[in-house]
Amino acid sequence: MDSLLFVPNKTVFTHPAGYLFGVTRLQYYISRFTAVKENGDLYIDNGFHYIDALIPENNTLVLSNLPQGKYKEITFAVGLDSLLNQTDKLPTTVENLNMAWPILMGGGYHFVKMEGVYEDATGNHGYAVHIGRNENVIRIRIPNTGIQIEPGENRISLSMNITEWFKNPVIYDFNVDGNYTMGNPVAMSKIKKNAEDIFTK
Amino acid sequence: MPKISLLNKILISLFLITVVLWQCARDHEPAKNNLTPYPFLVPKGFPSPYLSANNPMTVEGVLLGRKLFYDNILSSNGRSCNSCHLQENSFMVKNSDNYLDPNIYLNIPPLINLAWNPDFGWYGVEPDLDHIAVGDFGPLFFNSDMKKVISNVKSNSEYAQLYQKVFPDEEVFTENYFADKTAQAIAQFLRSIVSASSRYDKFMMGKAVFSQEEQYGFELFNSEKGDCFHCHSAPLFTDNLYHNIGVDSVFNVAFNSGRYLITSNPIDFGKFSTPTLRNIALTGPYMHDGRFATLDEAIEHYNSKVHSTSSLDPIMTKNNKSTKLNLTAFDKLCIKKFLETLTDSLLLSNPNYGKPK
Repeated sequence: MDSLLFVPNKTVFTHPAGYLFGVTRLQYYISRFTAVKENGDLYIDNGFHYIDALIPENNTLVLSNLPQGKYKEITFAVGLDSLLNQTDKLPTTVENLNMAWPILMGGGYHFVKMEGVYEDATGNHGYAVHIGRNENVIRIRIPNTGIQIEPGENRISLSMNITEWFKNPVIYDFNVDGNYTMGNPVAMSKIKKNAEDIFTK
Repeated sequence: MPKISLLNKILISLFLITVVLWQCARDHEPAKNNLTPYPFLVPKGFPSPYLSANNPMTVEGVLLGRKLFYDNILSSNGRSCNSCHLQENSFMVKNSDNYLDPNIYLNIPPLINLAWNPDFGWYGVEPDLDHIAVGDFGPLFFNSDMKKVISNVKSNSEYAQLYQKVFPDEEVFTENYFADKTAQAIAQFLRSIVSASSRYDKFMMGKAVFSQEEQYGFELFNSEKGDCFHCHSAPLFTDNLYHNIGVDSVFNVAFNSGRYLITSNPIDFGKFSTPTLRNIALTGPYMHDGRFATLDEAIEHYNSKVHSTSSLDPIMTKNNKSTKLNLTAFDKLCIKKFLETLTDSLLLSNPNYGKPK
């Protein structure tokens, strides 16, 4: 396992297209969390959760009443379902207001805001991967989790492989596909498909 | 770009799973000494304000702060808060009006909707509104002689009674407490100044119509073409974050270093807090140092004059690595027309924010 602690604004990644990039913002919603026990029992969390990956106190998701036991699979969505993804549907917190997708552009919320800087042969450039719209909800399924919730245990850590946003099944190259995804449904669709395997246990 | 290590995985402690029973409600403390809780009304669609647990707003506290704001009793040079922060200017300070050293070119944002600010100053130098007025007692502004100020306040029966009512448990007329408590009272008044009655607000409630130019400007504001909404998000028209929007290409003037002055992180060079756009038509000049005299100049900056530096906010770089918006003259005019709909004329003459009689 080569998971390492991410240092906001400092850690540099190698993009599959061959250049370096960093992350200065990574905010997203998680919703529709489910966990399936080995015996088939199903836990469902119907809430939505705002995550700011760069702020340690904001990158945990609190679930209540998850029973002890061994879980074989967890699933969740990065994004919001169509019932929640409507303008003014979420509580008016600063975070939700900052994630709003203008009503004049279809309304609802950004599912993901991922921003940073990449460095290619011509210099440093900003990129802004913003994902929204109902068709771009990212479905995450983590099978064979081996997660065992013991008495007194209350934390599960998942790893996000940042570079997976930009590869598998296709390489998303800022210089080819666009360093700015809003208003670009093709770009958003590529990122959405790539992102389905960003998380691992 | 910093080059520290080539890592390709983030460990994110994503799921904290707990069986804790939540206690959502918090009992409100009853007001002390018959003080009346201030009825702070959150406008529809606004987030919860940052109200101070250590300095709860009361009707009496807001009144004391408001009286002090308009009174030169705190200074030794005849100045009061409203010598610079004029209600008709949305309580902002224009460069030409302030008392700062002319070599310190500083633009003071309007004192509106401060109840929603998580911190204060262009680069977040002050985390607490309750404390912010203390700085005004120094030589640069009020040059206050605290012993004399306390004596004058104590000999004024109206002030003496108000101070003792608002701060009953404190030795408020001792030098240790007086400046802090006075700043708290002023902070209560400042938190009470709410701007949410512009024509834009009426439009959003279906009680006003936009002209064709305003409507098009509204659309541009909320589009990728104009791309104002990402940072100036409604209804506060600020995201309360820090951004380098490319007004400088080098940071050899200390103040222009922005948030870097707090964090010492090079990625924060040139980052300043996003100011609200409410009442923006009244609060020129623009940017942290007031370098743009008009809204037209400010809009043109975003359109064609963004400097690309290593700390430039990523959102300022559009596709094809361009930092230009390519707006037409008509586009820019319409954005300005829309911004003018954010003027809250009621606030400018609201007697609740004016000099008490």
